[in-house]
Amino acid sequence: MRVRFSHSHCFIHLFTCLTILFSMFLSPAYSMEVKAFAIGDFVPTASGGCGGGDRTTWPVMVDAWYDHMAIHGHSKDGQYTDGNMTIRRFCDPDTINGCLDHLFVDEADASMIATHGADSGDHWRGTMRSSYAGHCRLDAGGTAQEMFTGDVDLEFLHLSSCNSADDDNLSPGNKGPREALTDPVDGGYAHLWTGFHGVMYIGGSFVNDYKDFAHDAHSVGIAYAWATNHLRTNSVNCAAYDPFNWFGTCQDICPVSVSQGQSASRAWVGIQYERYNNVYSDPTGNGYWYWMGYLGCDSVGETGFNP
Amino acid sequence: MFLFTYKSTRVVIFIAMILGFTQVLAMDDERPLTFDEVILMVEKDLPAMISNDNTELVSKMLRARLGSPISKRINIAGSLKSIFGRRRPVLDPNCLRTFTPSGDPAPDECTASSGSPAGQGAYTEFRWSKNLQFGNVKFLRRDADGTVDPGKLPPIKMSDEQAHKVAVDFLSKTMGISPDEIPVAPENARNPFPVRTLAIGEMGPKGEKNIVPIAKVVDINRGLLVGLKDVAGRDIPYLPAPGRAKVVVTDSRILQANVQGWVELELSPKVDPKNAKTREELVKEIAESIMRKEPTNISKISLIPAFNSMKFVGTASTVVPVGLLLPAIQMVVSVVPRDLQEAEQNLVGPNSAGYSEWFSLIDLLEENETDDDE
Repeated sequence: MRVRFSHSHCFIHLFTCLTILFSMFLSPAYSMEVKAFAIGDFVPTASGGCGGGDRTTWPVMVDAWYDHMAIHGHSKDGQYTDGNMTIRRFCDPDTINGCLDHLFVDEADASMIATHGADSGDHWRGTMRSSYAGHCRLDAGGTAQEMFTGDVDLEFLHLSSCNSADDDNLSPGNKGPREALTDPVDGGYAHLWTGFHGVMYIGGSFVNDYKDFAHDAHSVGIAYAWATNHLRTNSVNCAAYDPFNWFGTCQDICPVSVSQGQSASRAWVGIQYERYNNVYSDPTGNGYWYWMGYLGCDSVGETGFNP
Repeated sequence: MFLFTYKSTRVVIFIAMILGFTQVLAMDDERPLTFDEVILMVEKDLPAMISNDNTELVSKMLRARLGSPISKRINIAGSLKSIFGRRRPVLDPNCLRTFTPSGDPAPDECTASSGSPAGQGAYTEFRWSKNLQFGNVKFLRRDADGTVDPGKLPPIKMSDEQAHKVAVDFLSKTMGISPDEIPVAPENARNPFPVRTLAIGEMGPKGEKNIVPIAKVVDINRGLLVGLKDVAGRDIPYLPAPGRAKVVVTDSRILQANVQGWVELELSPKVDPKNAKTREELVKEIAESIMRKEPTNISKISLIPAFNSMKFVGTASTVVPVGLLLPAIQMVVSVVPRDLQEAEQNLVGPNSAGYSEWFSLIDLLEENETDDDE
């Protein structure tokens, strides 16, 4: 896979860059490095953790994507489940002392993060398992100052998390997810962010959606594969007398994809054509962006999708 | 009079906002719910049609009308011809391996394709379960990169009803789905078609905003005809069953169809209505399961009679793998209240993701693995 990195980061993280260069020459041309981060066993605040109800199937869902990526020839570069899941794995060293995104989320070509999430003004924030430097939540995008990717290696960031692509964060005047797909200090731009408008759900019936997403994203655009495989219309909160939403009691699960680029044409390529086996060169700016989602999609915890 | 009414309305709205905010703020309360609290919630949300004698309900569910299975309806050669036309697709050599090395029916799929999945050219793919009883049939296509001019994206004109009709026709004729297992909405339905509009939005640095609806996505949950009524006398003609079919439709063609987990179902001798669980047993079982998630907040519990399937049986010697029809309760738990305003979303605590889980309505003779356990 094509790799881009800044000289300043190389100097600071020589080992990381050498590893990337080494893997670049060893891997087949289509091979990406993929990483998965998932929390299923959250730690109660009373026990010193960051809280959150357990969702034991969440890592299984992410695993389906991770395993299927390997079937398509990509390199399993790290699967992190529960354990010491703090913001260190996701935050940029330029923000908080001790942050290690260059060894974790930003060191892969494609990463998936699964955890409880919320909308914090103009951006997503995810619940960690335990606190680091007083931070129990990872704030990413918009005006948040913790997560800046794309300066090391990341192209595709997938959020299996509530409110990770809320409509209000995609509107003109709000940079939303794009601010987490670049590094204001070191430069560099990732390509694509995928997430959910409003609340998403966990369960065994969703596992194959993650496998199918990994498969389809080698045949059709990643953005489209995310949007089609993770959509669940009329699937949650139905009344017992209305299991198919004929009388309007059910709500949806609403996936959204976001691309970025220095020009409208570069952002278009990201939303329409980029696949895991068809990666274009890195964007050189993020002034333009495209989203793909479902107009009016009625997720729990949010009003209908209307960026 | 007008002033009085106006002021009263404002007071009511103010109180409602306070109550709403209190509810949201409570989401950051990390006090674990007690078992008694959860029992009360489940008791409230479990439909009254689940009684302390569910023998009759289970009997009715077991008389559900099963459509003809995919394995009997699909004509692979015909589907390939309909999708690829005169082009001859390339068959994956693995298609011939229909059993796993350990002798079980292979759960994976056979792929026929035209073009290369890699690169920037056009590509078409049709996949089906090597053992069709697993119920996966998938079709997708893409155009070559650069084919679509973003400035000339054609907005879709098709109605939801038209998209649904096209999708059902394709599912029936090309993907092997029995129309008997596609729920038909009653005449008084407010939302008869499970269709959403896929759109692309272009945004720019000077406030540019151009949104184009590009396709209809028809998202069908399999349903079996049961003809039930709830205690209020409302008709429940169909109940959800394992299997989902999504079809992406534009004005000119079908872009994709994905039939997932539409397993071949059979009745099981292990499922005896006499062994139906009581309401009391179900309430306790569901509450215990919720407690294992260490809940601190729950906004809504949706509990619906539905069908699940027990895992496949069948080996090389018995050849045919099938799913065994299991009357069940499908639970969906939501932590976050519906439709929060932006200011409220900021206050959501560490819980957010909902979850789904299944509970058998029957005491099975032995432990069986069921689908969709959280």
